[in-house]
Amino acid sequence: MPNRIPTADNISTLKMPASARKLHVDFRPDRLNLTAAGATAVLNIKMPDIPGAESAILTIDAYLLDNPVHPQGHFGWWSFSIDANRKFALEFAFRDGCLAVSSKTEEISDRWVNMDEPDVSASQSILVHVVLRHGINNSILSQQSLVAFRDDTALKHAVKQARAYLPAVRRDQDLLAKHNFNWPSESRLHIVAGALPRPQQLAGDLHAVALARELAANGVPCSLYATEFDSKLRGVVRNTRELLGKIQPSDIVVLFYEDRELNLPWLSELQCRKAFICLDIPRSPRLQAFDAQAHRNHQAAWLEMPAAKMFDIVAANSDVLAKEVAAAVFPDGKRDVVVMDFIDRTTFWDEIATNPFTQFAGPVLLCPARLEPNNGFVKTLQLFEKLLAIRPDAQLLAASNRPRHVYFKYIESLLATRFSGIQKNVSLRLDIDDADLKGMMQACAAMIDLSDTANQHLTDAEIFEKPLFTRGGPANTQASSQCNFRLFGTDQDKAEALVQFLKRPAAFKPAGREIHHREPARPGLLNLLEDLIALPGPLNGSAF
Amino acid sequence: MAGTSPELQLKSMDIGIIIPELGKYGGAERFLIECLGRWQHQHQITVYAAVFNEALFRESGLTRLKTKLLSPRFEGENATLLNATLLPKMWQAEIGRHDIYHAHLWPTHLIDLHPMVWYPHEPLRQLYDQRYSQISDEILDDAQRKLHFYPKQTYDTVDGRHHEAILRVIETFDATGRPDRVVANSRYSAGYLEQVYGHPVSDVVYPGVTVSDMPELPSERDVVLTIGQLWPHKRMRLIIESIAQVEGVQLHIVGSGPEQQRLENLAENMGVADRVFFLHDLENYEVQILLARCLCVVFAPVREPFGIVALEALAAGKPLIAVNEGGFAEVVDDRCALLVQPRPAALASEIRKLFNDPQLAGKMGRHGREIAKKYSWDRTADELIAIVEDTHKKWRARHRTPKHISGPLFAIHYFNWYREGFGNAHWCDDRATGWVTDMPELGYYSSMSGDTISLHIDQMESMGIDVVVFNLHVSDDGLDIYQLTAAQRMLSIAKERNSTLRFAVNLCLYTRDSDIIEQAGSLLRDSMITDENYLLLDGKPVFMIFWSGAFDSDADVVEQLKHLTTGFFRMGVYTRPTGTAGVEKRKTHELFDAISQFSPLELSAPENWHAVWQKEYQGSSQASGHHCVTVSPGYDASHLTDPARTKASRPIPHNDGQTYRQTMKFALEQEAPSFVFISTFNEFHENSHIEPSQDHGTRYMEMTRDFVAKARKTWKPASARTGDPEKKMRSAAGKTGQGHAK
Repeated sequence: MPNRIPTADNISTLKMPASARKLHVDFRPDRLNLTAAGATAVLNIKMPDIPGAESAILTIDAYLLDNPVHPQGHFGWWSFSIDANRKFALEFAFRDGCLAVSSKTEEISDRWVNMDEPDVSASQSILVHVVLRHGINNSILSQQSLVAFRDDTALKHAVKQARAYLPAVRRDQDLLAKHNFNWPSESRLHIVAGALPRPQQLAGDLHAVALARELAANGVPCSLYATEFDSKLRGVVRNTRELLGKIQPSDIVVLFYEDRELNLPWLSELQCRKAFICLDIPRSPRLQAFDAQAHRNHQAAWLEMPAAKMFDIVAANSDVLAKEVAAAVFPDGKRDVVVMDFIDRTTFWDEIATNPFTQFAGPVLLCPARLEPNNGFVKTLQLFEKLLAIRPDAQLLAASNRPRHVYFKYIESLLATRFSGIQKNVSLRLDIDDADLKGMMQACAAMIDLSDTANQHLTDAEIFEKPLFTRGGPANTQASSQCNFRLFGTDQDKAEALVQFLKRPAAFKPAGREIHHREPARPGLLNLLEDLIALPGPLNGSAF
Repeated sequence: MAGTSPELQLKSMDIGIIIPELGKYGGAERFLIECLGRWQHQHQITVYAAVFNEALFRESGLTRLKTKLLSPRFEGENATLLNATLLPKMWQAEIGRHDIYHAHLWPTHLIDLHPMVWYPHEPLRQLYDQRYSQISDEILDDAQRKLHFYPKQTYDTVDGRHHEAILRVIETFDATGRPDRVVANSRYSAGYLEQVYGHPVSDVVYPGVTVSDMPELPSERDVVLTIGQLWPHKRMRLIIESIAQVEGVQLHIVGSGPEQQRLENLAENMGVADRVFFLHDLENYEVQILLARCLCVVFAPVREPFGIVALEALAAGKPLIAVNEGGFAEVVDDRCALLVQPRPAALASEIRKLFNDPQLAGKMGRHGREIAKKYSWDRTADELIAIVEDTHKKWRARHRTPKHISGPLFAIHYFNWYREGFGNAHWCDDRATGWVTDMPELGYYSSMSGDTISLHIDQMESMGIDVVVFNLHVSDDGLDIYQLTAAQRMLSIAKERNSTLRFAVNLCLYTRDSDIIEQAGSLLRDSMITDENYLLLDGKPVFMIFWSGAFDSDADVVEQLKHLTTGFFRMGVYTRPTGTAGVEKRKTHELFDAISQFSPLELSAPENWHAVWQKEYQGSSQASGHHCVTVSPGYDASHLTDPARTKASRPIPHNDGQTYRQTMKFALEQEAPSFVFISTFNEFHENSHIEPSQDHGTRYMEMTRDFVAKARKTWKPASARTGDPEKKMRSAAGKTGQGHAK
């Protein structure tokens, strides 16, 4: 563990690192109310104060929330050439099916309004992007979004959903009373993630939200920050750059790192206690053809990861990943990467209602991995094709949230051509709610995940007492293998193994969900926080 | 052309395919792989390259090919010159014998093997397009210049002071290639090659494309694609500049190369780094996905000989925006392609046009796809193999050799005495096994010596010998590597001297160790039997096995030898009498196609020689129809003290040449032997040598020369009497197989 050297500076105030150039547009409120007929709404804006921002351009770009594509769902864009640090107000008005954006103090420097007005029903909400562009080459410097509501019911529902996403801190609870360590009363926890899942689709990416919820329920004051999140959650979740104005020296930061984080340079230099938790970041080149930007971000995430050495604790969620992170962050081997155990998914699933899934008569093979090039779905189709030749009533059900769009189209194309023979036995379900996914997990005969690692799905397989067929072992060497059935040999061999399972499911019966309730062998997220607080030296500072 | 016309179809050819590297999936490599996939089912193909990518072979289903590694490129000082001049000649020495050679890319045309069809893809761009292309900031410093040699992935650097001199040497050498036929990938390229090499290039085979491979995905109007290696002549810089002029589009660049950092910096400086993506290590299907996704393909290389990317764009149903120069312009029209001057604004204008009118892009793409259907890989592979077959057919017609021998071959048993007599089991100071009583005229020579070898070749040629038989020994220690090396040296010198001699191996086996036998067989196959001057009979390499009877009825050894020599003409070189068909079947499992006697004098007492030799002659042909007879001047190993030798052998004195004459007389009485063996040239310790010696001088060599001359007259075939020089016995004997005329 690193030595902590408190200084006069970091005891009294938290100095902002030089790298924290605030390329960020502040605006309030978090959502616009256009519900009243002919109503207008005001958005108060403060321009950033960075050098060079005087030549920046602010653009408001507006789309239909449910169809944010050009030109069908595009209302238009309005640009303003505005000085750095300037505060001003923008007025939004929706009349006669048209959106208008104006300012009493600033002139519109350029605009484009869609003359083929988007097809708006009465309840359609509007997605508003606030974009800061470079004044010379027009590149995007920052982009944030908010929602303008035109329907009162939709507005109230959004507010309710946001409150449920991160419940208020239980003031009636002693701080972490159920746990064997004390939360420092002067500290606030700031949880930073890259992208946060939508409210009803938490199963695929639970870490940051689960931690925030658990701490809030235990009376620990915490805030959630992200770069990408559902715009309707603005207020409950804040843009990561807003952390700069809020953080105190005695606060604690936990960064969930699962993709490139543009804020990493200044986050790593913050003089407070902080933990870096790396989640799986693909390294394979297979993503390039489908999403070059995402691939570039993944590459950059690994290249920039050495900045994590400035964090007090560096952790990863599997043994395999921990080794890779250690090689990237601590090539000298002088510090360790903590392997963190999984969050408690049992509790999560217990609190989710079930939408029963009864669509198919034959045995259902559930593929719960996200439709991504790295996750082996084409291999799964090849295998399923052979399985169908032996067991024609089998169904393959792919349940994927946030599928990679082009990859999904590619899979559709494959099903229409190369795999046309099995198309009717393959269902692709996208953007499914957690309740639907729970129903599928309960109803399926088995799960299959031919990605490189299958940790999370292994946990779910345990909870739902389903066998999980994989092509490799779990990334976590200590993860239970009671549910994990590796498929070996040729596709034909693998198909035969699946048929054997379908004939004699009892032989493949997993040991049951009690496995998952075993005493954790590794620290969970709360243990990690406990370690962070218990580091030697005063709380308000980091050695890095 | 839908398929090869029946009249062009020949029987399977043994084709040697040569390409510098087959590691990545560039245009030239893809071309060859597509062809190989189709040809591998029709012909025996061996692919030679200095780099192979096994995954590429697997992915492409290339399972029926042989591959052989060539020497890698030189690196370091003078590497450029060595790679341009010496390396192809080294490759030439490493390549085995084939019916025909088909070479791809520069500098494979400098491999002087024939007949050869060269598909250059492009002339050496470094000489003809990029000679003056380096702008000052691209020159590393005053002292060094960068050079690009496809398919090398990095630059060569040369001393700036010598840059032009080096290019001139390469240019001079480049012009010395003499492939028998050059095939261009476009008419544009044909003209270009004619201009560079000064030879007419009349054959054009366009590359192909597989339209059905392309997935159907929604076009993304903001995705512009370009494919190409990142070298200056691909003009990626121009494309990036044009993208900077079109708001709202992304550029996906598929390719890698040493210019990537410069291009990334350019994109950064132009403020488009966030919408310019460099993609590499893609699999083929992933490139097709990008083609399916994009709005259009932009292609702007300098004088591209063909440009397969253009055809791929058409096949994917995408409009092509390209510069108005290059071979691809022959296959596109203005309904599927927008060809412009190589200027950023011109390209940007066309990109913008399609961005603003996706329907136009769709319409152009559909038309392009119809055009692409005409250019299938089947057509390409068929057209090119038809040219290869035609070249082979014409070559064979010009260098016709009889399928069956119509006269005898005169073969002589030769021993590679090395280390100037010492350290050899059969020529040493060991009185038991190697003592020599009659010294060679040359003294204790070494068969490693080039002078000795040259002299021996002269002597063989002066006697009219056709075939030199290397007696190579294999013991429990393995194949005698010194003997092998000396034999290889003789092969090499014979080739350099354009000798008409052919060579064969007589494997003298003194071990039962199957691993050693296997190793020896593999070594001989790879290092000697593939040589162009190795003896072929009925199209098969002749492989002789010394047979004393020690392995009679040893099924393990016999079956292993059979397996090792599958596809060869197997000849037993016996020291025991040949048995009846039934006996031979039991003892040797019909291993041999023919049998010759190593030492006929040892078979019986002199009074029985004629009858015994006659019986041997009758039995020598086995099932092949090729009879063998052996002549020998004498045999005497009685001076050796090894009890096994003194007990086993019978001294046969030379009798002032009478013994030799007696064997010759018998030989000349036979009607039509295929082989006449002279045993031996230089087995001095057994006194069977005819090589000039201190006791006999040149006497036995002269007797041999006279015998060969007389025998040729005696056995002159009918065809030779017609006076047709092509069909003369000498020619037939000298080029029994399909070797190369020099």
